[in-house]
Amino acid sequence: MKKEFLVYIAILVVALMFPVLVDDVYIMHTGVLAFIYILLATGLNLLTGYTGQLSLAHASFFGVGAYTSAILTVTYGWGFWPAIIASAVLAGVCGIFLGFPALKLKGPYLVMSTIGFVHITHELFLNWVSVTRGPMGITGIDFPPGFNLGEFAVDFSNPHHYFYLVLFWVVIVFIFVYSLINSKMGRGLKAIRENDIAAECLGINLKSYKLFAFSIGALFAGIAGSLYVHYIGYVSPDSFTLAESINILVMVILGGMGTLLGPIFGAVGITFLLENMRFLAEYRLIIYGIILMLIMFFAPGGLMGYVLKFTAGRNNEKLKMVQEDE
Amino acid sequence: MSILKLKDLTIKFGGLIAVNAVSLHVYEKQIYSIIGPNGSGKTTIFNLITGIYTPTSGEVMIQDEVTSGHRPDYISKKGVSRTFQNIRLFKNLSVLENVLIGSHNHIKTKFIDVLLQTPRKKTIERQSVERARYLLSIFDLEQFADQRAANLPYGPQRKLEIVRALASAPKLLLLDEPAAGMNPNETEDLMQLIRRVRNEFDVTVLLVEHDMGLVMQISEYITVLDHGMKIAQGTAAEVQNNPAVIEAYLGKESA
Ligand SMILES: Nc1ncnc2c1ncn2[C@@H]1O[C@H](COP(=O)(O)OP(=O)(O)OP(=O)(O)O)[C@@H](O)[C@H]1O
Ligand SMILES: [Mg+2]
Repeated sequence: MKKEFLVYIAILVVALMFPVLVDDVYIMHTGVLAFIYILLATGLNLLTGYTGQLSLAHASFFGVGAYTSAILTVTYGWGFWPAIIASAVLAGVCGIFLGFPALKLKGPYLVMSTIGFVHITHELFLNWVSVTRGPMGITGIDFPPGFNLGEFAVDFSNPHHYFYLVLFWVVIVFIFVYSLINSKMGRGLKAIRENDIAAECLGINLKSYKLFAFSIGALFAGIAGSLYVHYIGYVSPDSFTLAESINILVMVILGGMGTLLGPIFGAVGITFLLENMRFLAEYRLIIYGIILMLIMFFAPGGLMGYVLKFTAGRNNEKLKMVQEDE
Repeated sequence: MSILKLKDLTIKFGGLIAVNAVSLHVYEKQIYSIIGPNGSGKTTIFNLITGIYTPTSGEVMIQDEVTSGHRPDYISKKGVSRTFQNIRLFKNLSVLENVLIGSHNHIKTKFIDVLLQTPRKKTIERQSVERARYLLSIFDLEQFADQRAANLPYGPQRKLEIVRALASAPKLLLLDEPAAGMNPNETEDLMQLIRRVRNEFDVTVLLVEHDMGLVMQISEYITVLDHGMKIAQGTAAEVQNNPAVIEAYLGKESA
């Protein structure tokens, strides 16, 4: 078996043991949020890290997923499972809406259009009162139904149990992205990131590949949105702003763009960092900012970039996963 | 049989007519060169053939199908592949991955094969890696296979672009100044390689090159451009003695 797989399995074992070893409900709560962010960061990484399309609209799809689940379960009485699937699909479709105008745009102009998009969806959540209940938001969203595992009763109102539900989706998404990146399709996405004209001249259809990346990235965010509202119990427009998009992007960059594990470390690292610094009160964001700047200064390829450089030792010319500028 | 025909091909950028009513025929397995002073429209013709630009008028025909107006990925599937004057490698990917992306159209693994790690996937992957390594070995690049493309010296980068283009198993290979920046030994080497590739893979080679030594030795037919217009065509000997060609080049030099 490849060394790579041993690392993945080790990480999975740590994740599986986490609720067993941790009693503290607050830490567990942070763990649940961190793993929801893994889904968000992994989706954005597919689009930005692997395909090279810098987007600040990711919170939009998080929101679409969240509202879809909230509305379907509260207003229409759907169950959790059909609702999460619908959230994923609808967010994926919205990803295509963003993707179409983005096809012709690059660099700063692409970023501008994604900023526009996140403002539009935020306004929609806020002002489409008949559907979203506007600034009041939607409350009373139920936890997913529990079940019995032999003697053991699974109860998703318990964060220790909810964590495994999120982990289940993280594993599915990870396997999906792993397979994608190691298929010819993944190579196509990376080729677009590296040089779109050369990629197109080698037979890669830019339009369908980019739309695919926009849509799959958004689909993962839709899943995250659904998991988020069923955990928190309510949804309001303020969770899905440009600031939230930036937060997700920071996780991707800090963890290591264009690497499989980067978004995982980024999401877990940042979520715990922010939560654990609450005691710093008004100094929190200053210290956070300084930490971000230091990390980017010492590890410009993100945490994974740093790890890879380390493990590759002197032969770091072989680093193909790390993205560097010339 | 002709593999490429340009018919009155014209493109205007604002007021500038970069390519002006150029017609030519390239026959299968020919080594055909387009030469001309800087800015005469050579690279623009490559961009028109590969679909990066759409002509203002006239057309490009590949094996008797009009391809102008189609996107580059479609034209690639018709068997056209190219290199770029300003190198466009996938810099942060390994040399091997660059070549594998070249064979994108021919790798038939599906996503599901990778998801389930099917034997089919492993076989296809092994075969495409083998083929990529073979192509690299022809160009003496095998030792770089696992390195980042950006870490290669300049000469090998140019060669890697050719290997990547060849990996798509083209019928028509467009080389835009492949010898630029190479020393005389490397250029000589490259000339042998171009011949070998033409013979071994049955490709037609359309070459743009400023190194006249290389062009005159290797080309079976030459078209000369100046200011976007065709001013001469013929064999190396014919072109070299053509007064219009001499004037275009000398006029350029004394300016
Ligand atoms: N996209 C474009 N927009 C505007 N002008 C262009 C464009 N592409 C090419 N040109 C112009 O067309 C003319 C022909 O350029 P081209 O690059 O084809 O020349 P070339 O023969 O390849 O020259 P060189 O030998 O220097 O590579 C030049 O005047 C160039 O500035
Ligand atoms: Mg040129």
